[in-house]
Amino acid sequence: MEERLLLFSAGGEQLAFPLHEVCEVMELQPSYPFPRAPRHFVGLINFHGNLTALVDLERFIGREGGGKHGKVLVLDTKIAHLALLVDGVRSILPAGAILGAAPLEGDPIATGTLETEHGTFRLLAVDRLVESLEQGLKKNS
Amino acid sequence: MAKTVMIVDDSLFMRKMLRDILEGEGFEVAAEAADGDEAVTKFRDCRPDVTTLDIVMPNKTGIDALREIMTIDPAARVVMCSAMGQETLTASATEAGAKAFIVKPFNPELVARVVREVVEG
Amino acid sequence: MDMSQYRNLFLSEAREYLKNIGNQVVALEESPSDRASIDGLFRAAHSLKGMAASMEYQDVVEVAHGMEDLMIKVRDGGLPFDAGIADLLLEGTDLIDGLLNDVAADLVPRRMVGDFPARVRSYQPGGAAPPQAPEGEAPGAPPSPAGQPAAAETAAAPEPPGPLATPSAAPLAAPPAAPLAEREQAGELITVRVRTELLDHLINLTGELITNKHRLLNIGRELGSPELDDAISENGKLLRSLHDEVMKVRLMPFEIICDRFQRSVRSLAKGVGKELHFELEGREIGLDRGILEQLIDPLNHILRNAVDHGLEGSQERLAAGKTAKGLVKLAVSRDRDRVLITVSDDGRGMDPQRMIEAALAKGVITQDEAERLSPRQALMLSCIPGFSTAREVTEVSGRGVGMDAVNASVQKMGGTLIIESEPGKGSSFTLRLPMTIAIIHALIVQCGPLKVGVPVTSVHRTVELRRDQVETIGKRQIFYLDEEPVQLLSLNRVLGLPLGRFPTGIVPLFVTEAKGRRVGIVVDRMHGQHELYVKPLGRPLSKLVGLAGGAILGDGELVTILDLADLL
Repeated sequence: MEERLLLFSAGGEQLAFPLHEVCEVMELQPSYPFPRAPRHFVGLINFHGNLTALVDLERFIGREGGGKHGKVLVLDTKIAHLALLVDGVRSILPAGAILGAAPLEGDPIATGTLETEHGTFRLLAVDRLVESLEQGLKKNS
Repeated sequence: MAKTVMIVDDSLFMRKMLRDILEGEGFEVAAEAADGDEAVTKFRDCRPDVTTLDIVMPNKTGIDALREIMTIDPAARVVMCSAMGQETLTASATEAGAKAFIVKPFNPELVARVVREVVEG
Repeated sequence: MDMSQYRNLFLSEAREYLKNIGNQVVALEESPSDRASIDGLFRAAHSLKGMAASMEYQDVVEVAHGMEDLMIKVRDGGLPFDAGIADLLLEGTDLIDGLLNDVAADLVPRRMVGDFPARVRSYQPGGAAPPQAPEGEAPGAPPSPAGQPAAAETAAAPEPPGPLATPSAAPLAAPPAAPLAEREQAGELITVRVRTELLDHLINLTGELITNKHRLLNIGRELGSPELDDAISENGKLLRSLHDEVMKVRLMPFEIICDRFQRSVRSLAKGVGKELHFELEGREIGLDRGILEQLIDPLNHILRNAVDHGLEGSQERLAAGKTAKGLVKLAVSRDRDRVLITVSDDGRGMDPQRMIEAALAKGVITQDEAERLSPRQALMLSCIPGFSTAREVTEVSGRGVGMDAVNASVQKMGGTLIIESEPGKGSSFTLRLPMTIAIIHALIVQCGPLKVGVPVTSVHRTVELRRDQVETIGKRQIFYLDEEPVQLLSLNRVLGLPLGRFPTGIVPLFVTEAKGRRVGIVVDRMHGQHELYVKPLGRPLSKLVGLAGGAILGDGELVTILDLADLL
């Protein structure tokens, strides 16, 4: 099947994930704080019995206050127990509708940029994002 | 007087089979050993007329044990036991001084004949 | 030649090889490049093949040959030993085990070996092994429940599309009825081999049920219905025993990890030129698989210390009126629901007084503290990070290297470490561990906005102090417990939170041990003790030092469980 992309925004920035890396899009739900975490960790949520870390993406990418919290993206549970707090989800885009793409070197969480009819989106990768968060945690402790 | 044989194999099953075959042929089993180290030690003690030596064994492979046995007694008569598909190893065994090979699974008649030839040869 | 006379010998030796293969696979899963295990595995498969060929059991030959070839690739071809290979090898042992059962039942050993040889030949690293042969073929699996649904599934499933499709398993003919009945009579259907994921799943479900029980209890309390409470508490008892049974299934004998210790002690002794006896006791005692895995490093550490530093050389031993050969003993025993693992030696022992002097010299403790240390506490000084790795300490203590790491991993498993020693006579290190890990009792405490759990295994007791019972000495705050001064620490501060206010004038705290000393950990509030089903945190939080996992409380609230050894 053709690859599809989930277009969304956080802190006002336009972002995308390959759709298969996102497990579920949920409404904001209660989270429980835990100790010793950097500020972008909002707390823990219970996703089908998995203790899942909720990260405020706009804080993490340094665009705090750029948007308002709307949705929670739960990422592929095979890779991580991680959910992202984002402004909202825009649409799902078939890969065929991408007008142009460019790789991004050295971006800690994204693999490239995509041109679409809705504008430019930074294409995130779950594994990079998770590694980047882990690095931050190690530094913290 | 009966010729003596030492049987070396890490499998009890294999040792028992060889013992039965060779005793049936009138050999006297002077010793059995279950690994390479034991083979070398027991060879030194009992100096059998002929030794059957398995190749794949723990604590020293059959090839390494063969080399040590040949330094203890350069005239030692050793028959290597190998499985199919170990042709590359048989070359180094010959080089190290093995007199003959028998291949698993054992054909009792063939085993008896080869061992007898090596002892008498 | 009449081969039937060799049948029993063949069976017993072949089963031994199978067991051997199983053990080596487990060992290699832990340290995938362990040469000795790779060689051992290869030899076992090779010997099996040779024996089976002599007996003319062609199916056994074929499976064993496949396993042997796979191990040759690992040994000589640089194929990494991964989970896929482990699965294939275990699948192979299952197949052979079934064939051996046929032999034992006087049947011609013929089974659906299916595509096993092909899958082994074409194995590529990275990919998990394709699904295991249908359970119906597994030895001893009950015929109908396992066989039929599987067959139905296969029939219903469309031809798998795409490049990932593997040749589907051979047709699922149920084993012929008569032989099965015979085997049943022979009592061979009493064991079933189960994949570990299935066990993990069962434990998960049991844990969820226990969480749910607490939720029901909360509702019952609100409704004020004694009948409901009774029913829930009855249910709770049943859940308890369900949990115990499920946990028992995960227990594996200590034996599966102890061979490595025998090897490492032997080579360590050789390395430092010491002669010793190594004794092993209690190999049959069962522990949770997860705990067994986590035990390997700490035990290796303690054993290494015993050989390196604990035991004297033979000259020194003879001069002290001891036997030339030292004794190192690894003993496992059960104490109700706990397992005790003791490493003891008859070496030079540790002198508490000299430990204290060294700690003073290193500035790890103050003179004041030094005077208050009991001999037992002094020995625990060896577990203080920094202190334990100091060279001079290693020499005086005859111990030490990495003891802090050992202590931390023991605490992580919910256990405790006890050090005993008599100078000149020897030392013993006892790990007191739970048999299973997933369900623990924890004290739930409040610190600012946070609710966190502390395993009760690290809580000596809880105390409520009046403010006037807190004394300030220099910069430290202390209180007296059993007439001994105990330092107070604020958990809020440790966790980087604002300090508590204690408007009622009561300061709640729990007493734990840190760096060999008792400390009082002050919290904002205690929420009592709870039975928690511990869940792992997963990525990325598993990298956060100081957290041992998390749990869901009865009211749906989530808490993290603190790892005090890491935090303090």
